[in-house]
Amino acid sequence: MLAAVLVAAQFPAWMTSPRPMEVFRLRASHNDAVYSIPRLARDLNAVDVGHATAYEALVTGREGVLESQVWNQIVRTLKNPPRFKPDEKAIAPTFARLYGELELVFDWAHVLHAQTIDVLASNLSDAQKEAEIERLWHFYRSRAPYSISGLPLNMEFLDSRPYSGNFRIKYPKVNALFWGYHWLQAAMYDMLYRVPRDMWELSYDVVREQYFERELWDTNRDFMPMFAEQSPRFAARFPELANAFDNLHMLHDMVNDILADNSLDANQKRHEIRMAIWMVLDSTHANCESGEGEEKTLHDHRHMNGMAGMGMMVGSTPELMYMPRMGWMSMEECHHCSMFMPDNDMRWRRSTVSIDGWTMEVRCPLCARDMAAQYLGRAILRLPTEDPNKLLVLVGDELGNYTSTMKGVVFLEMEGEHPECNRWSYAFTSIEAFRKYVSENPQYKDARPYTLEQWSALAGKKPATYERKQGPVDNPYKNWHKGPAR
Amino acid sequence: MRRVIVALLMIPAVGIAIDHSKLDYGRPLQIDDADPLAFGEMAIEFGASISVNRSRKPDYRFEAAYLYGFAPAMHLELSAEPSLTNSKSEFGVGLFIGIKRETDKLPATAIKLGYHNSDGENELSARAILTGQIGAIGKWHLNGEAIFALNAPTDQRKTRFAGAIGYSTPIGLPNDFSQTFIVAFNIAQNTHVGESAMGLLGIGLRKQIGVREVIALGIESDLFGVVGLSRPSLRLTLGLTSSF
Repeated sequence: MLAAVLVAAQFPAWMTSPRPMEVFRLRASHNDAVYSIPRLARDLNAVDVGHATAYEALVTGREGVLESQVWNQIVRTLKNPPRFKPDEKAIAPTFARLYGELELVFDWAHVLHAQTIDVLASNLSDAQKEAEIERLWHFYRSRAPYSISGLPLNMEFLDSRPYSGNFRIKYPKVNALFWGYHWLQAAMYDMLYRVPRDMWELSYDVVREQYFERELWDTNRDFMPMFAEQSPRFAARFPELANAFDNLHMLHDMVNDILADNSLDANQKRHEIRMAIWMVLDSTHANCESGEGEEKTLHDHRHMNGMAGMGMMVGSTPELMYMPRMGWMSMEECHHCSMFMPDNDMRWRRSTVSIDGWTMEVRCPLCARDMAAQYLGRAILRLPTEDPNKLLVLVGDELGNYTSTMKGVVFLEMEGEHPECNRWSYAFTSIEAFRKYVSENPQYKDARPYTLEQWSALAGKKPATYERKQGPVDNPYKNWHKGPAR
Repeated sequence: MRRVIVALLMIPAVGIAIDHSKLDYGRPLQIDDADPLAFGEMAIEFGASISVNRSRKPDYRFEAAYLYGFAPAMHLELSAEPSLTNSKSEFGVGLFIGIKRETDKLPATAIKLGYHNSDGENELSARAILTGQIGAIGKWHLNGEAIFALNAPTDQRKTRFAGAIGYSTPIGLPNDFSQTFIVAFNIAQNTHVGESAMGLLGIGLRKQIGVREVIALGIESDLFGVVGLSRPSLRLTLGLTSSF
């Protein structure tokens, strides 16, 4: 089957043409708004340097010092990030010369990355931002022939090529940097999406700490960070973008693996890179539909139940996936109480908790707080209030004390059975909203409104409904690139 | 002879793109690289220059240009030079066509077609541009140009040729990613029949100073061919490019 798919590959004309065909970003007032969060902007600039520096080393015979000199050089830049977005072609001229078609694909997808973050960091209203992101996605797909597919692709299939795994095995430190960059690029979306502007910097304190203290150096990560694992709210709202970014990051991994494969000569590497590009292109999947496709093939476009913005992972089924650092889980259920999550029109009622490098969706504020309490480190909780347009964002310290810029927030917490937890655990923007809710739900008439400080100090019981998921194996990634998959 | 100097030093300076590593004709040196503006990109450029020579008054120039990548690999350039020191005003129109990007085997190639009007004197030009990698991060650039004077007096050439060779390299890597050093040597046939060719050497710096802004600073000096004038004739150029 694989051979048939690959033999059938017809490279589009642009891929083999040397004609210059760069396309400029959509002209818009929000362009470069990321600089309103200066540290994030600069860290993203450093990511560009990191990518380009490693690629240039790989194609100029410096792979022998990739894990030493080159790594040190990249880390210096990460710790002293440039003020402005660097010109990657100036850093990696050989790479750009050898793989111009790949540069087009990377650059164009990076433009989409940058512009969507600009939108989220702009002064537009939430509704305007959503409309603008839709416009960007349309522009991205329609303006250039080298756009990446927004369909979920089977990551197990893409990561099962003969060359797969080379880079992470041979260059674990630099691979950790790449996956750290991609972690940041995924995590920043929920950090900003529908989050009040005055919480951006506070949230980035936590994200940045995690990025620099762990994510950049983690050589034990099982798989690249997936977008929906880091930004499930954004991925649910914009599944095509989430998939496109995952496919982009997978393309990075595939290219890394190809370049690190010494059994391939220069022509074979070029061919394999073109093949990798072809596999993730929008045009390759032109007649395909999300949610459909033959299992574990190039056109397997199934996605996780409850998350159209996430394709099939290694060893996963639509019901169950293995999440690195977390184990097996369902994306349809609360990760604290295992009850089904609100969906469709009520999806906005989901809360999320970010801590220790992952972000999980949960059903209620209690689930978020108590789940965070089980882990070391600082947490960000994103809790819906009675107003769908007002998200409460809490940033915690190491001891679980939370702060927020939303004044007057109060909580209802009248612990009962978890099938009802998103009714008895609730955040309100004001005491008036709390009273209105209680008057409409007399079963909570004896509830007291908790202040943020009081609520932070509470702890619920372990949910009786919690069920730890079990997969077919303990960890499907264990020996993934050392065993039968290769 | 002063007219000769003007012909070489005051070629309208229109150019492209925001990247500091992008060579941009007149920003600050008179050499192009072979990268066209991205499809849909626009840029505005401003440049000011002063040419000095011991035997005459300084000549100040100001120019502005607008560039638009109206199609893949092609961009349009409109430039104007209102005169500050004499009555001569100039304007130009250019079409830059990227033919191929640099590949493993061949340099990037482009051509630039131009129309230039200087106080009623009309010229058409065609410039071939090559750019390739040299060393780890450097780029070489070669420009060859034919200029056709449409209403040249009898003592001036109707067709003349010019060329430039240049080298550019980012400087400051791996600590600074915002600047490029440029050196270029220009040679051009004299506009006057029977007079010798002119040579010009320049060095310059392009530096990113804002999210979308690059400044260019350069100094150029004639090397030969300027008979009758005391040397050196120098031109200092300061340019600003912003793309959007």
